[in-house]
Amino acid sequence: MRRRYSTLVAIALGILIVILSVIFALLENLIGQ
Amino acid sequence: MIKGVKLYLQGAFWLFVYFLVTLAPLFVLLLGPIPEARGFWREFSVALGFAGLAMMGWQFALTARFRRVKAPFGSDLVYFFHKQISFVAFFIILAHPIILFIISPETLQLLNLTTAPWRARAGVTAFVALFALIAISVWRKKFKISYDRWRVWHGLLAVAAVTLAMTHILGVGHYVGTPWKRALWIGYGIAWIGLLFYLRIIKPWLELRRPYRVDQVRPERSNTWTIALHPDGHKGIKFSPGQFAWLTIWDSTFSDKEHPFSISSSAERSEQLEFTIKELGDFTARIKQVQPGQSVYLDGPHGAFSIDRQPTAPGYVFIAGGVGITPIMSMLRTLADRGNRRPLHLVYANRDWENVIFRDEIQEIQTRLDLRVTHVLQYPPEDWEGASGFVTLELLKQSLPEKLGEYQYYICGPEPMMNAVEINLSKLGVPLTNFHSERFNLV
Repeated sequence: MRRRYSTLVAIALGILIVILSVIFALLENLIGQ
Repeated sequence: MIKGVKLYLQGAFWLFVYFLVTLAPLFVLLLGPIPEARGFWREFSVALGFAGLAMMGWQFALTARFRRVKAPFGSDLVYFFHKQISFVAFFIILAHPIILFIISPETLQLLNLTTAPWRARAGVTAFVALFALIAISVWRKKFKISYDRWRVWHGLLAVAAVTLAMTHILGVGHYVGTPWKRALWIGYGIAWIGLLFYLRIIKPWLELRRPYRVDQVRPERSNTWTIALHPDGHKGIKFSPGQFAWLTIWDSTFSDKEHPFSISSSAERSEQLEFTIKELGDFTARIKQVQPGQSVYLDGPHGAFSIDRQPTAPGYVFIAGGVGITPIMSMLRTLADRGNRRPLHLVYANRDWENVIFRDEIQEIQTRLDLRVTHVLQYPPEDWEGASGFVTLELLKQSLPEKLGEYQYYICGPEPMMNAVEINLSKLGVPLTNFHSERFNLV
């Protein structure tokens, strides 16, 4: 059970990184023109 | 504050800190003057690379055995998370070059290390080191790499991967030219080197200054040995029953050849520590050769598998398989020394009667505790009237108390047994929060 929580946290962090990277890339393209 | 609530808050705090330091590079990328935009996919790929490196670098903190950080989660869970987050980091880092190769196929030339610029060589080599690191960890047994050798290579490849990746981003330099970004990466570099320095130099040096002397090595049943130690010239450690420590026996503390073992003695008698170790591998097969008077070194205590984490429980149930009895024995001995009269149940599974470790002491300790013991034997003797086979749902129903949900459960044994017991206890309606176990079979 504890391992399941750990897996969820690891997956959540991975998803968060992908989302933030998308946001960064979009913003960077808007600001950095 | 209630101990459980305090631990949850501490856990949430450390998780927040971990997320913050891992995600910080993505926020800092947007601070200060931003370089000329190079298209969505390229920037996306770069962001993944930065985040991946931050994840890799902070692995040094996850494995640094900071007791305060590990306390809310348990050591085994932190190692498990370390393993899982490595896979996440690997795929995030892998996406970085793959996206670049797809949007600019000419960048594939960077894979040719004879012609590629140094920054690309560093990046490619960092990835190869990361891949090798994961491969030897996932397939250590398949590659027949000994645990000690694996630990050395694991450390070397981790340092190589992170150093080369740092060289790569500094070499490319596109996003580290401004003071904020430079400060972040220099700060991260210093923190990671500091962690390594602490782990490889300071910690072993501190251990070396606090040796333990072996009092005796006595045989137990089932090719198992108890090694008794006392602190040599210092006060020793205070531990909770059920915790474990890393032992260095024949080597220097700087050699990194240490192994984790549960403490089997009472927490109320910390002037003498005992570890009960079964002959299962190269290292443990040599335990019987340890000589009285020999110096050994210890890093601990570690672990969250302890009754002291649930001090207000009305009663405890212990379920052990084979040598999994050792941390539970520490809990039983401690409860006996404390004169604790709470109801206790022990379900103890073994192959046969002759191999029941601590068989006689468990019988004796029942006179000092309100303890009911159920022995379960896979191969019982002919005249055996007790339980036989495995720790099944039926057996748990018969041997455990009626108000199952009020007890706290401590499970330690072979992986399949622990899985089966956890499933069966769930079926019996025991809340998941009442299960406690530690699993170290990670590599």
